[in-house]
Amino acid sequence: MADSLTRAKAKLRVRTPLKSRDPRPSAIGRFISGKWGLRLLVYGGLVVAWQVTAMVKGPFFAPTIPETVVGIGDAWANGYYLTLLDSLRQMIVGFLLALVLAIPLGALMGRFRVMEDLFAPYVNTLFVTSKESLLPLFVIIFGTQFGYRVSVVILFAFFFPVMNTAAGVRFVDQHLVETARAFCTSRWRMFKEIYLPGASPFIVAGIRLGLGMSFKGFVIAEIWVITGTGRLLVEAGSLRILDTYFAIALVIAALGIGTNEVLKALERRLRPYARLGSEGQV
Amino acid sequence: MTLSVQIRNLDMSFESRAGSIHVLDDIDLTLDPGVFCSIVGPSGCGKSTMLRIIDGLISPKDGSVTVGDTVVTGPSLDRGFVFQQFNLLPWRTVLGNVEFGLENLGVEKEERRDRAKRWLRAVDLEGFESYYPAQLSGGMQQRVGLARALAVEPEVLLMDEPFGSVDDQTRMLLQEELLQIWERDHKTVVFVTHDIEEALFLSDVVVVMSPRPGRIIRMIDVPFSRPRRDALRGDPEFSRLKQTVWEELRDGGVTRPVEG
Repeated sequence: MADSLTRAKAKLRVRTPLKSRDPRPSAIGRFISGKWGLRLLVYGGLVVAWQVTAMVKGPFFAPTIPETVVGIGDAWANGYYLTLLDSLRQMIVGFLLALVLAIPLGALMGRFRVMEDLFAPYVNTLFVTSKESLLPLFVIIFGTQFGYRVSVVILFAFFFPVMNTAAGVRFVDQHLVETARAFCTSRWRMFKEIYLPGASPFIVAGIRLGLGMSFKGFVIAEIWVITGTGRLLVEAGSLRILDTYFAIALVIAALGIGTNEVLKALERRLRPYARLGSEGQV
Repeated sequence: MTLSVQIRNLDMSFESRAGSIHVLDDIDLTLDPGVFCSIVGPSGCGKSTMLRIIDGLISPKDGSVTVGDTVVTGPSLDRGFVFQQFNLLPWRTVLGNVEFGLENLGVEKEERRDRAKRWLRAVDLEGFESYYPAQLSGGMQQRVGLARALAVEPEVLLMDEPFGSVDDQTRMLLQEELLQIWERDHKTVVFVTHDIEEALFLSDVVVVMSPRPGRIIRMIDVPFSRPRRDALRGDPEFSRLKQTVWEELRDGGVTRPVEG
């Protein structure tokens, strides 16, 4: 409170510009204080810390950066990325199936009280349950192959899109709903033209969270039964082939970041109005 | 063609946890086709509720509304609604917003586009078709809201404090523009406002309502000839009528019997 008062006063004061004061910071100054300068500082610091740790602790604990870079190349030569690609394929199938199930269910739960009453207890219970604890059961039901891995990914990815979609539909501006009713909008168009776009910021957030959970899910599923990429990680870890281990982990992280960026770009494409603020007014 | 509006023994109350709130009390009102009618009253007197009942968005507890020969049972596109908060769809462009009602009517794409563009021209928004609502000022957004309501070519136009959230200058400009559009085809208009000057400037008849539960205290015929232009606002007779309406509104709160 006091702080904002002071700031308001400071805004009112008109200062005579000092002759020596350059109104624009130099290009370097702008870079350092900007987004990329800060990123360089933080990530650069982490890279240095990694390298120093690796050099101090030795190869038994962590590979150095050059070793990891070589590891990324070796993993390619060994065909590990084909294994990773296969895992990703299954992850994507699971992720998409999760969305196909989750978004309509969430929309119905957000829209209709009876659906909420019916499904919310299950969704909420499973959401807070450790999904890992269900893995033995999944192995019994689905075995250890495609069906198992896909269903574990579904289990992991399912809940955020359901809950977010339900919340988004519930928070749709009731004024817009009333407007659509005044213009005699049919049930289906009400859903398509009002509820879906109105809830879309929540739905997209849910999809992105679900994607993160899919990555988590496929790795855990595969580590649990020691297969696919999970097997590579377990073996590389226990045999202390840490350059390969780090290489695979890094590539998985990079894929996670990459797919997340793709989703963000898709959102910008689908919702161009989302970035419009009052500053864009004519 | 334009339709009459008849309100018979209308009574409305809302149930809430705190009990029942009586909003409208025995409203009777008949508007001939082509009448521009304003409803003024203090905040919370139920005038917006009454407008929503006329549109069919809310069902009354008692009584009925008849538009033309049809008893209102729900919304219909022979009535167009303009909202106080504009209520444009943020994900649709200006053109898309005006087309919205026409899509519901099943109008073919090309005709839809032509009609929407024609009404955008009428509200002076030519060239803004591809803008999104967030890029427009309040006044411009409400022009879109007006074009959206007019594009379905309703017989009755219902307006809920449409100019209540724009600045004074814009409001006066919009009032004049509304009159110009209205004078082309004299649709029946029910216009809710708390601005006495606005009500008098626009209307043939001003309905004055009491505080909650809203009742009609008085109906005032506005005698000024049409077309009306801005100069009317300075007319001494205009000021006198303003005073009359104000006194009715003020006394409406005092002489009303106190209810529990």
